[in-house]
Amino acid sequence: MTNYKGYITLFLLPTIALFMLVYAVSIVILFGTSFTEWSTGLKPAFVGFRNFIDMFAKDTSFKEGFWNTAIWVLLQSTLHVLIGLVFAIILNMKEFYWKFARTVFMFPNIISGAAVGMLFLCMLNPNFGAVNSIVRLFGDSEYAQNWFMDYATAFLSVTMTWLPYAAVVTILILAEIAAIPDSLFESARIDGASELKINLFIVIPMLRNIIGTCVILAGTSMLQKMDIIMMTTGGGPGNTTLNLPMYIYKTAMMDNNFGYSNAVGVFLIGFGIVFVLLVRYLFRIGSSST
Amino acid sequence: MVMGKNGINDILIKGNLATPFNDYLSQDPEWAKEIGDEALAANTRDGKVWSISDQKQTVGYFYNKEMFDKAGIKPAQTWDEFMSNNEKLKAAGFVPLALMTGENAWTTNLILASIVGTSGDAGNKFMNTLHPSDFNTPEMIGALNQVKTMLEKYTTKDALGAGYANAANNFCQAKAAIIANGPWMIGDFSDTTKCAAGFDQKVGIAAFPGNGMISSYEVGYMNGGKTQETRDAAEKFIRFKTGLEGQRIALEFGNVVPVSDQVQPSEALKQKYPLLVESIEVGNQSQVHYGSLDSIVYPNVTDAWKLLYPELVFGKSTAEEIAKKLTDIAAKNK
Repeated sequence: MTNYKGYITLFLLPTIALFMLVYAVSIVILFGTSFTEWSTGLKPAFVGFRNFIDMFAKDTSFKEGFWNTAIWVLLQSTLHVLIGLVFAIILNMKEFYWKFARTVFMFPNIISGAAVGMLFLCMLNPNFGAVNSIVRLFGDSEYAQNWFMDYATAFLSVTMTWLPYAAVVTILILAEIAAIPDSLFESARIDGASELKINLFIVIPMLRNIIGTCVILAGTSMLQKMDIIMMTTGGGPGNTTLNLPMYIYKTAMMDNNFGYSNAVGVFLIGFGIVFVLLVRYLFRIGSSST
Repeated sequence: MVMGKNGINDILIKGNLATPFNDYLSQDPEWAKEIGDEALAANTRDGKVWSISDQKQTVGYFYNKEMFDKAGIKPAQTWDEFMSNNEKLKAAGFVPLALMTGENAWTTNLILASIVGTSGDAGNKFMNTLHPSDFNTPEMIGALNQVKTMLEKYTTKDALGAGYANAANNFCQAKAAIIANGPWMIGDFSDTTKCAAGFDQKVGIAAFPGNGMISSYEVGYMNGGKTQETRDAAEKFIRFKTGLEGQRIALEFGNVVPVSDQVQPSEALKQKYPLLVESIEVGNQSQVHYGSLDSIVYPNVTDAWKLLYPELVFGKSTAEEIAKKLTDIAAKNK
């Protein structure tokens, strides 16, 4: 056992060292400087809780960014996961198309965010975009909806660049379904259960842990989302599609206000931790499914 | 060596990370002469020359001569005439302006800057002020209202949110009659991968109404060397890049207007790009000069246009409210 302890320590050391260097130091700096006024080239000056007070009391852009982020987290952790789950259950029927459909569904997930942004920017272009061109084919020859810049459609347009593409959720759930013992399905069939009943009352309850994990993965991905917003709307029109990562970027890189930007960063980390704890509690992640 | 654009110069100066060029210039008066007093003064603060410019921005607008002829118009002398020309172009079946509000709203803001810059002494002073803090002026509000009309009635359907490439493409593909831009675009007009063959023959250049032209010196290069050795090496390279030979190369290969009158286009260049010579002449004849918005405002203001123009056009904010927002954004800069 003593020998094992040595090996365990040895193998953990590189990971711990990397974590300390890359994350721990950054997080300490992030927290420390969130209480300062700090811009590039100057030394941080301690200002107490001023950044946090300004954030909640005065900053309407922060509030808009937070609400948008919260809505996207909610949509991604519910609708997105539901789409992935339904698709996984359909694929699990192993009909003739299942391998083809699984591969096609995966495509959007292997393209970089910037490329997806460009793709949608072209598809939704008011002049030459595919979507408007199709509408023009069916009647209104003057149709020129500016999907990303019109207040009525901007939020939905950005949302549709990520919400339906749930292949990662599908793959994780498919792997979990494969781990359910065949004997359970056989027993259910012998008892006369239909496929729908098997899915509703056996499969889905047994997927609670992995669905919870998918909810965490999908929800927290919205706390990092910036590439597609940057490529398509830049957070506009106005602040209609602004989220907190985009706001952090703008505050730091455009306003050159790193202290304030880090305060928003601290809030975002806190929001993420609360979200993860809440999902873990709701799904009782870690406890047995049986 | 650092390109000091987009607020980088402020960060380096504030953080004591750059070395001024005063000593180098006094040791080499010939180099100082090649850059010229005006260009040096443009990048001098409190007597210190923080960067050396290697090019002048002289920006008017390009227009499609065929479309102008068909609409029966000539380059406008006043902004009222400019708007009337837009109406005539539209009536003749053409989209008048290649505008864009994405990225830094470059082609749109050149027009906005010119309306303000040619509006009288106050507007011209505003457009020649580094880091203006108050946008709540009658000149800016009036100009925003005019640009709003242009975005609503006289531009392509993709202008809101479009990038520079979209606007340039709309002009080069003869989908719009006018684009505001600098002489560096001239090479594109004879590039058949960007424009139809022979398009360069159809393009004319004009100063903005009020005989105005954006005429400013680029921020250019800063010396950020940490040791004497690297500072000297950076200075050596910057001296080459901004000296007569460097300016000549930039003019011949990049259609960049040099900072020195000593650098003139070669005969071959004149033959290849007659529009470039015309652009220099139009620049010399223009009487009202001012900077581009990008060259005078804080970087966070430059970044805000893409969010504010849709607000203006969709009626979410008035021009007065946009001016106030710009003022607030400028005040946020650290």
